Amino acid sequence: MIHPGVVRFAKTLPTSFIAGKLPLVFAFLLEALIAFSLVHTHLLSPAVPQVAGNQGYRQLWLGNVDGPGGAVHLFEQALQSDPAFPYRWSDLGEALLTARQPDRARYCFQRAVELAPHDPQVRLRAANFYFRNQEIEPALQMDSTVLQQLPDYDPMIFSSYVRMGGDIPRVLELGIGSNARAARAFFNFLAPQSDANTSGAVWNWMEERGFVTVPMALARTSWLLEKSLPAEATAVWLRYATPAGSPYRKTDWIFNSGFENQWTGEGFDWRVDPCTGVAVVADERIAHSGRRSLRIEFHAAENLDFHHVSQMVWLSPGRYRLRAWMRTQDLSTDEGVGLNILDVNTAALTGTHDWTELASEFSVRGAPQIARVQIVRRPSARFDSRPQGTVWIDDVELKRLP
Amino acid sequence: MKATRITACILAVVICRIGSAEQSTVLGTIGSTSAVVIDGTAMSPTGSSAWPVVAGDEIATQAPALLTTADHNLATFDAESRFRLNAVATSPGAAEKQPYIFVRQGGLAFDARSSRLLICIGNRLFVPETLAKGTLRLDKNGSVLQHIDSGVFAEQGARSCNEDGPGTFLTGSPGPAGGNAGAAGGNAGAVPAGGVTVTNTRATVTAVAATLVGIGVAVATGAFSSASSCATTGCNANPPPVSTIQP
Repeated sequence: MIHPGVVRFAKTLPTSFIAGKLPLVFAFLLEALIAFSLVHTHLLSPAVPQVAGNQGYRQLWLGNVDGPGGAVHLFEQALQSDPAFPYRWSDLGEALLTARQPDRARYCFQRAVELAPHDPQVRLRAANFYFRNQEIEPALQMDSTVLQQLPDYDPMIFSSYVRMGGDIPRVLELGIGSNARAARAFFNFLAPQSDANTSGAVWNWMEERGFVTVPMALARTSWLLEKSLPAEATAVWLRYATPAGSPYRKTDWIFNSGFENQWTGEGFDWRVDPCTGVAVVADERIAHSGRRSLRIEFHAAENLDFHHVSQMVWLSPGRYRLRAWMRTQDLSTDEGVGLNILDVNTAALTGTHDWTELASEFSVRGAPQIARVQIVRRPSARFDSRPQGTVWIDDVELKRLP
Repeated sequence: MKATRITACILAVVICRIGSAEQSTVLGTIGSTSAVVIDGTAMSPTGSSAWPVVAGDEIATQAPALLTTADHNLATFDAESRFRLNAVATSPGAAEKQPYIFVRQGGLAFDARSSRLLICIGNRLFVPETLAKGTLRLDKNGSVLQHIDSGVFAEQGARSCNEDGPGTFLTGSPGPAGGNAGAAGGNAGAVPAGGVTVTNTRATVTAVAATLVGIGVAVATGAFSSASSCATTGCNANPPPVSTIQP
């Protein structure tokens, strides 16, 4: 069929011109027709690998897998034209598995990986083949090679592990192996979701291989405390967060008692929660001992119930003495600042004082107990009370009495 | 609140699955042009065109997504759909299992190419028999919009299924064609005020495809009983509206 535009163009030419140029016009049209046919054949024929591949996907998605014109047939055509391209092998492998020909599919995925051993997508698709075919161990091993290459697919692979990988020890051995980065990422992936047993199994496995870092240990301690597992939390804290030679849990049950190190807010370290009208900072100019103390500045516009600086402690039964050194300057209102643990309060200071010792004793009876040491300022009975002033605290100690 | 419930639901699912010594049987694959979120993890099409899915998966689509079951049944989910995939015994006591789709949001076009499908949507169980094609969608009110292009499906009324599986409906064959309004069986006992419970209703629909001015339109005729068109939120005596074929 001649394009209407060509006909319209021909009608505009003078008759004599057409008569003289007729052979030339025919030759031009014939050449155009041949060129169009060649282009059409080349671009749209299933013999072209990409075309056959696209048609194969269409048939696969329509559920037409077998027989002439089915996905397997079209992917085979694409592969024949392009046997060195690994994706063609993967495409055919997926269609063959859908057509319930797992052995042929396995061969296709093996060829794809041979052709592109460092291509993560080829390996992911091969791993998915193994998962689909209930071959879990090769699936885990295949995915582990992707984890070694790059972190981009971590969540997808970990999701596959959790949903299809079966028991955790096998997933860890085969799916993670000696890859410390992947191990940490997998632990973080599981952390918000897992129960204590699973989390503990992964943690222990990581510890055995030396994959645990200090930040992980701090976060792990907090997680264990949230799960009401203080004994386990204490063990992790002592192993990873406590410096060698520290008196922590030997003679003193307060960690970082002089605020010499910046508090992390994790585990058994000091935790400072935000409170409107109060600034909490480390003061490097004023200290009772060492280099630093904790400074709390009150600029409150309301009658504060302040308990926003605290530390968790895990205490065995016995008698304890809580002691701290406090300095105040122009601390207003009738309610002062002191320390609290369980239902015991130390004295509270107001006004201006040089370093003053605050202390109180208490007992833990029965089972070991988790408690919180807090720096507190209770609300005043005078409702218009708005505390102003500055408090320094240093050398907080919690010692077990004989 | 809704988002919190969804997150809690996903977390609960994941917590149950982590560390399970029993490996899950793959029920099929899901693929889309955008990421499909499985148990809270976005599975990107750049990684793989189709991801295996197993029983217990909580799946959310961003773009239309194709679920292909291991036995070649197809379900094309709308964008922004959410559903849970489960596996239930093909018959009481049978070891063999088949996929069970619990739709929380959105809808799907189904093509039961090789076996019947089990779809719970709006707490109503739909069982397209082999070769049935059609669509099921939840509207904004939570009512089910049903449409069948060809084949046969059985349907049970309100509260006949939940996310874990169908009620006792599947322990016997679906009932005779035509609505059967009256006393409920299985889990469909409770009826919303003013509603009608339908048990073992089988709707037979003949689809006639017509081409009108180049636009394909499916006209469904058949034995939808007035009862079978009742949604859980109320009862509408009219048959469900005829909808166009979904792409």
